Amino acid sequence: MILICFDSTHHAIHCEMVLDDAGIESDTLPTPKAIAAGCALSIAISVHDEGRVRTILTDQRVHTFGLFYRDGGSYVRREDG
Amino acid sequence: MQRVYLDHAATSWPKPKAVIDAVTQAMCAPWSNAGRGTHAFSRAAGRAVYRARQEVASYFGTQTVHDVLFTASATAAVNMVLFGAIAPGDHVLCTMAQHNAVWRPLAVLAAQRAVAVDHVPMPLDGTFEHDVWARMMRPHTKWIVVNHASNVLGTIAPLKDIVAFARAHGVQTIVDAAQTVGHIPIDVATLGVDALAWSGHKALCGPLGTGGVCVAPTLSFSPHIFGGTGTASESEHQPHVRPDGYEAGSANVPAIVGLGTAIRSMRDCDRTRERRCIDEAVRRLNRLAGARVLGPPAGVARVPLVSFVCRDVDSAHIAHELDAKYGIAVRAGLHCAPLAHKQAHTLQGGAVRLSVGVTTTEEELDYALDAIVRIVGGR
Repeated sequence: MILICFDSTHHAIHCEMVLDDAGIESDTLPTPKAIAAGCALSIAISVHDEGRVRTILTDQRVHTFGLFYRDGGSYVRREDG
Repeated sequence: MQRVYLDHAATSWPKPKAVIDAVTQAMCAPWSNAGRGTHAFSRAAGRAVYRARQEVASYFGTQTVHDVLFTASATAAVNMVLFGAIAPGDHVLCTMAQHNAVWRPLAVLAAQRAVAVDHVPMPLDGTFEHDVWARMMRPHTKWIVVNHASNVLGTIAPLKDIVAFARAHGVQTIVDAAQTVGHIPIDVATLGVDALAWSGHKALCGPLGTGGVCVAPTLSFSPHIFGGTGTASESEHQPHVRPDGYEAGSANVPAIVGLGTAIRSMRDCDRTRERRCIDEAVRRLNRLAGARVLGPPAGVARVPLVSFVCRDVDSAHIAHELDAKYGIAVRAGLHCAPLAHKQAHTLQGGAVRLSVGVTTTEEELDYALDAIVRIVGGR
């Protein structure tokens, strides 16, 4: 699972809607405290959709805080590509 | 008594049924505070606000949906940009006939930030006088603030020429489009405007409490209202991400949803009747003995409003008689725009303003003009 994290609720909703339109399954949830202390939204997607999702984020100019994956008990920022 | 509403420049009435239905539905739906929580209630409200923002972005031709910032009014929008963008020592050129929404914030900026402000005289017919503008430029001129149309005179500013002039001189443009949005098509990206403040409840026929500003992605400015954004709550610093960082506090979800519906229902609306009505009003008032019509000469384009004064009759008296005896709502006084009245030499007594909307009929206007003739002639 990949977590797309946001520092903007507008951009999170924007992302949720464009992923819906693209038929990509996603789940919106609070951002884990290990990633950001403040209240924020994240969207979980399957790792298999990461490539498509990255393209959509760029095309739709969705502003994210970063993409993260879980590694044991912590989250690691996922670099582009 | 018949009721006739001729104060559409203040706010439109009645609102379209579709707008009323959308506001009602937004208040009844399982929607809560947009951007405040990850639960379904909040996300549904967030989606509704997002869709309204998309409507606005599409209507004004912004580069992205993120370039639309909602406020409670055009005044709030103008304040946000003026206070967020203008730096100490900047020189600002602004068009004459500004509304107090611009005049007063600029006076505060002049006092608090040593901002220099000059008003560019503008002909009543809206002609662009390049040499006049060029003469008023200074080395530290950073901003041109344009009143797209006067809410008193009806004069339409030559926005395209002014923006082209500003860009040629490396100056950024802030536009107050409160009186033109809905009447004159505006494409902010094509025009190259840096910020355009608009009202949602006037000619767009949205609910009161709606307005906003469309900002160019390149415009750098600070938020003006600080507080909760639903994100980065651990920090005392206001986020600058758009639009969230510029919309602190709870969004007026029902009104914003109503605005989105209003834009959808009004964008293809035929507005030629408003122009016909106001042209007829100008013609008839010009024939009225003792009356003086303000603004552009007959035959020159104006937004659908007309202000006039009568030599021997007080403007406030005319407005009161129209209301009390004929059920007609017009607006007398200075219309929160003393600079326009100064230009029209009506600063002492004000004027009577008739402004029509998409629902105004020729019969209603005839009734009002006949009543004015009786009030003015019956003394």
